Amino acid sequence: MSEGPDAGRLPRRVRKVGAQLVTRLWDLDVSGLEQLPSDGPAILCPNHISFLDSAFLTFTLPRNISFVGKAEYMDSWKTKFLCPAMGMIPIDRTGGTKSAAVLDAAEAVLRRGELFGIQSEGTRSRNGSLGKGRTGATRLAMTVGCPIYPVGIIGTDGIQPPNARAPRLRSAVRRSRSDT
Amino acid sequence: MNRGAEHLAWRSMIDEVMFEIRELSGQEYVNRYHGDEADSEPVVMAQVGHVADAVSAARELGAAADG
Repeated sequence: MSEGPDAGRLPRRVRKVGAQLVTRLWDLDVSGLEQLPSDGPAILCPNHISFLDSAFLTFTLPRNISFVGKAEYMDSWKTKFLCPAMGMIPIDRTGGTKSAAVLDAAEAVLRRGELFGIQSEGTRSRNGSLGKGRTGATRLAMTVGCPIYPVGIIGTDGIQPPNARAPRLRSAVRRSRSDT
Repeated sequence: MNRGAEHLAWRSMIDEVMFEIRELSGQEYVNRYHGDEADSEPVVMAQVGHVADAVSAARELGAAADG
């Protein structure tokens, strides 16, 4: 992630192109965006039901957002360029100090006054249920002193279920709401 | 704030966030981590033993040994 004068330019372009693409391919219903601050740090906590969740959220937000994504995405030719361009912070899920480093990177994002997204369930739901949340987001929010916005995503599991290789053309719904 | 109290505060906050996400997404909430296989295995419930059970079990064993 660059911190120079051009910081955020590439994610902004990717977001713009991505937004045009997803709104043509799928019928999106987005609400609650007016509750997001136009600047300043904030953490978005969506549920996680599909690989597409982070992408759909990124492409429909009015601001750049950095997301946590599993480090394995950096090994695949399909995602190794797109994910960093979208601002993904890779997380090594073997645990220990490697995953702790992600919180440091996330804190730096928030200290710059940017948005940070993290799926508190830690991994995709395989059965549609909402799992117990991990405390990384709240630790960050208390450290930085920023709000957390819960986000509910509906329908992306119908477009690309956890084991599907490619997305299907269908409709999706996303809702967002603030909570400090 | 000591570490225990701090962790309780983090847990309480994230539980509140998950409750809001449940309201927004309509998903069923399960109080366990995804991918936590130990939790998905069948659980054998422990039972508190009673003296009477132990006495009757000893009698049954004694009767079996005599017989």
